[in-house]
Amino acid sequence: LISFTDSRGTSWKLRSIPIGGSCAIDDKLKDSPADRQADARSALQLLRQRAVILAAGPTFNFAFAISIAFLSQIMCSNCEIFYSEVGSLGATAAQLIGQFSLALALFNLLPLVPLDGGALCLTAFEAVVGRPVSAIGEKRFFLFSVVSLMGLTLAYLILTFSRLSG
Amino acid sequence: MDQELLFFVLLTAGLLVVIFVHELGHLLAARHYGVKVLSCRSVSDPS
Repeated sequence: LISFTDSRGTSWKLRSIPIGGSCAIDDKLKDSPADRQADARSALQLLRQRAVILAAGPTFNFAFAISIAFLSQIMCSNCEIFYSEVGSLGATAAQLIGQFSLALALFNLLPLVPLDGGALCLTAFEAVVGRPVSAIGEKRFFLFSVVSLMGLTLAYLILTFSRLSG
Repeated sequence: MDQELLFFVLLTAGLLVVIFVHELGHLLAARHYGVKVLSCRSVSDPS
């Protein structure tokens, strides 16, 4: 729908199908494994940077959820944060948006590969062991993540339907 | 009916803002460290 490139070379896009969002980061570590081995200290620094960048998304969501909670508290002074009676249309929408922000942050911190938590796990492994996860290891982790996500979805659906029918 | 429509418009806009805020966090942290960000999509295309 909308697309432009800013002065720093980042291409911003607003797409019509609202599935996820992403930031493609030019990771120096992945591009130059030789450099990583040449300078272990700078490699550790880059890993720390990568961890902070990965954690920043959920952190912003936590901060946003807290801000929204205060906002909805102001909009509906009789309601408690997040677990309230319906006060007004705006307050209810604000509470739901805050809950979604909190849920997105927690979901993204799950230690599963397409999510920030999974990437954080891989980064932690690399920092501790001193080398990145092998291609086979990454593939197995991805498979484990897909099965776990499907299991979680199935468990959620079963719980929801049993609650609705019961 | 108008109230319902307004509620869903507010909710949809809010959900998009939440996703945008998440990606903005990654972007600002990356820029803080001088890491190049190639693309940033507030609402991405599955293709």
